[in-house]
Order: sequence, then C-alpha cells, then structure tokens
Amino acid sequence: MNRLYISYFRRNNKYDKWFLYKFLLDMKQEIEHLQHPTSATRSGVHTRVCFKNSVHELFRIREFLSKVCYQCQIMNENFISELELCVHEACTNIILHGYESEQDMPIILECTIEKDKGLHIDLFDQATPFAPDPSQFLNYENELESGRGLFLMRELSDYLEFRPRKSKNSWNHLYIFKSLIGKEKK
Amino acid sequence: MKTHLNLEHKIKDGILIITFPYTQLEIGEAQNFKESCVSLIENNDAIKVVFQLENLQFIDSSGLGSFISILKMLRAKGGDLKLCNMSKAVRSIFEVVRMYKLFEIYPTQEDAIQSFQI
Repeated sequence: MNRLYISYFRRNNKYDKWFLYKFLLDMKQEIEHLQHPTSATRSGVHTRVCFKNSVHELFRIREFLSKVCYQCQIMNENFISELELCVHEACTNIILHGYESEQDMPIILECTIEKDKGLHIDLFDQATPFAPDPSQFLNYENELESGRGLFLMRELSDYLEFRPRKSKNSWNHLYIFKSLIGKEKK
Repeated sequence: MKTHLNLEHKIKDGILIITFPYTQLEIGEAQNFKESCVSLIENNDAIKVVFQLENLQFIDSSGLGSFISILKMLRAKGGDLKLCNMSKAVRSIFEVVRMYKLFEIYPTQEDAIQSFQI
C-alpha cells in the first residue's frame, strides 16, 4: 500500500493535503499493527507469551503464571492462586465478551516481576473493546449467577487499568499490578 | 453435545451427597457440571444436597455461578445445598466473593449431614 502512495507522489509531484493526511493516518495504523504491543520498560524479570482466544488456553495461562512465579522464587501459594484467578478472569472476559465468536485471535501476556515489590501483568488483545459496567463490581453478596468475574479481578489485584484500542489495528491493553509487599512467604 | 459428567454420589438419611471428581471447575465445564447435578438431583428426587469438595483446587466465576444456580433451585423447593471438605484455596475464593454468606460450609461430610437434621 505504501508503494502505491509513493508512486502517486512521484507521478503527481504535487502537494495534496487530503492525500497526505490519509497517507499519514494509514502509516500510523500500519506502524501500530506491525509494532508488537509492549508494556513500558519496567525493571525486573520480564516474560512474554502469546495465547489463542480459546477457553482451553486458560489452563496454560495459569500454568505459565505459576511457573514464572516459582522461577522468581515467589513461593506464596496464596499470592500465586489469587494472581492466577485474576488473570484467568481477565482472559475469560477477553475470550467470551471481547473476541466472542472470532477464532485464532491473539492474547499477549507480559509478566514483569519486580523482586520484593510485585508483579506487573500486561494483557494485549485485538478484540472489540469491552467496557466493564461499574455496577457489576458490586455483585458479590447477592444470588446472581454471573457478574463475579470483574469483582474477582478487582479484589484480587492491587491496581487495574483498561486502555481500549484506538483503531482497528491497535491493541487493547489491560494492566494489572499485584503487590508482594506485606505478603509473608507461606 | 456434551454428555453429563459421571458424578460419584450416594444417598444417606435422605440427603444426596455428590463428590466433585476433578481438581478444577471453570468456564469450559461449569455448565456441564450444573446440568449433571440438576439431572442427578431430579432423578433422585432430592432437595437436600451436600457437595463434597475435597478434590477441588481451583474454581472460577463460572464455577461459582453453577453452585449458586443449584443452591437457588434447591431453596426454591424448600431444600438446601451445603458444602464440605473444601480446600484452603477454594475456601479463600469463597471468602473473596463473600459467598460463605450464601452457603453453609462444613469441615466434614458428617457435619454437613448433621446440620440438615437440626
């Protein structure tokens, strides 16, 4: 596509505001698409893995997280199981409510461990941005059969932020932080 | 179409005791588990049920939803669902979502059965 633009410029050799705007916009989207999404450079042990949007991948995601924790000598089982459930719920939302019926779509999971501080999780996906309903965070003591996933995510993490994608080719970004401070080894 | 799970169960003093056979109950299996339990409950005309959960180590929001669904069904018939032998990991999830307020949870199967007789 860019070659087409270049040949257009060569052929016409003139300044076209609209065309230039369109060219820059397309370039921007293409760069966003080509660039692998990544979290900001954080210090610590960094691991990155890509999963498919299938509920059968959820077990692998949890396994990956527990492996990363053990490799970094985080032995607090409570911490690990809470982290696993939090990320499991986040990925379930992406698979079921984001990608819905789309198949073979990516979920990128980045995990950065800052020793003695905590664990940063960055989840990237290209699904339709899923805007959580804040009222759903409150469904815990009632007898509703659904709506606990978001509540669990909030309760099991120390910080949660969702940045929806801005264009079709960019990525949604869910950032989760779970602190290790004050959590004794068990 | 998924076939129903083959759940280990027994009836003691008119109470249906179901042993959960797997270590995980999550999105892929929660619906099937719920349907299998409902069919077992209906086939045995049971309204008093105990879930023995010693094997269960991981449960997600869908799994919790299936428990609530069965609880609601039984309470609507004047019965109840009680839980026992819960692992530490599952117990802590129940605490996070405050579901221990909805369910009666007992350390042993005998305690759960006895609670129905009070």
